[in-house]
Order: sequence, then structure tokens, then C-alpha cells
Amino acid sequence: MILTTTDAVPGRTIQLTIGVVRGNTVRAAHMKSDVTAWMKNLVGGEVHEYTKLMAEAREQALDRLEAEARAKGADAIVGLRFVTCEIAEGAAEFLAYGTAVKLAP
Amino acid sequence: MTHVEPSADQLSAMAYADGEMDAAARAGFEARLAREPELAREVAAHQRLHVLAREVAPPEPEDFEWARIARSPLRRAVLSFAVFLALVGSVGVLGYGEWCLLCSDAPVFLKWAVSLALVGFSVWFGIVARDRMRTRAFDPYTGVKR
Repeated sequence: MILTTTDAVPGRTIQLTIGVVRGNTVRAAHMKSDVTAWMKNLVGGEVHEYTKLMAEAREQALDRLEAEARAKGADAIVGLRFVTCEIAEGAAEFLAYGTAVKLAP
Repeated sequence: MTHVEPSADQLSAMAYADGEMDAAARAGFEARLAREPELAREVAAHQRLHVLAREVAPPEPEDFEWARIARSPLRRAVLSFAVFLALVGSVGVLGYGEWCLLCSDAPVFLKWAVSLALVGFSVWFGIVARDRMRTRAFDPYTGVKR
């Protein structure tokens, strides 16, 4: 599966546009991470607990995006975008969306 | 845009400036630096680049350095003990608060309401935590670093 943020796949021709596909997730850190993160808010520096949380959410959203595209028979996703927002304190929402396409052989 | 592969000497100059050479290689390279001014200029250029890079973005420990700090047995033991103390203390404070309420002159309705809420939330949390513990092993994303 080719994932690209561009509107086309260089060197390949789009045979068919299948439509918008998306994958999202909301993940929370456990209490220990939240407390540690709160303490890091006091002393500064990178909050690794939340960096990891965002990375987990990103990978899961991407996997769901790919799964939906694969189920629709696509072999590439173009115009890939990520969106994040805060749905709850200490939780990460990640939405990945793009256009599933079928490439010419 | 043309991409030019660095020469062996340029790679060595980078490795020397980055402090990536072992003692023997370093000694050999320093002997060459004394003889070859062109190579010395190459190293000096990389060292100036280092100074500039540090001014632009202060150096930060690499991921492996964070991992090494996190793996320290003493740190882990002290942290686990601190978390244990915090949890036991929190449960103790909640329990004591409930006990004080039960022994107080508060209305019976309030005593029942607080006790039921406490039991309800405890059981609720227990089920959520149990579900998470059971599914955690099958969650492929817990291993994601960043």
C-alpha cells in the first residue's frame, strides 16, 4: 500500500478514484503516565509519556486507514492528512484521512 | 539537483569531528592531520559546523540515552516504591475519609450515598482495569516509541 501526502503517485497513473478513507483512534495514557506528565509540566522538558501516546495513536490511525483502503480494493492513498484534537485531558485523538485510489498496472 | 557522495577522507573527517573514532583510529588520523593541511581544513569546517548546529538547536540526549536512564535498576526500584507509596497513601486517605464519615453525625442517607458511590466506582474501575490488563497483551501499539 502506497501512502503519500501528494495528490498523485509520481511515476504512476491513477486508474480509479475509490473515495475518501479514514482511520481514527482515541488513546489514553495510564494513570502513572498522567501523573508523571503532570510532574514534568512543573519541571519542563519533553513529556515522553505523551510523545509515546501520540505515536501510538498515529500508528493505530494509520493502520485503520490502510485497512479501510485495502478493504475497498485500493492500492494507494493519496492526499494523506493527519488531524489531532483534544477530546479529553490526557488522551490523544488522531484522525488520518486520504483518498483511496487504484493505480494503473 | 546533483547528489555527490562524500569521499573516504570526508567521511573520516566527519567521524573525527563527531568523536566517533576509537583511540587507535583517532591517533592515526591525527598523525595524518599534521601532514595534510587539506584534511585539517575539512575537519575544521566540520567542527565549525558543530558549533553552529549547537547554537541553532541545543543538543538533546538521544533516544537510547533516555532508554538507558529508564532502565537503571535503582531508578526503577525507587520509582516503583514511590508509586506504591502514593497508591497506598491515596487508598488510606479515601478509606479514612469514609471511616470518618461513617463515624460522624452526618445523615444516614449521606453515609449510604457516599459508601455506595465509593463501592460503585471501585468496582467500575476494577472492571475497566481488568479489561485493560487482559487486552494489553494483544495491543500492538503499546510498543510504539514515537
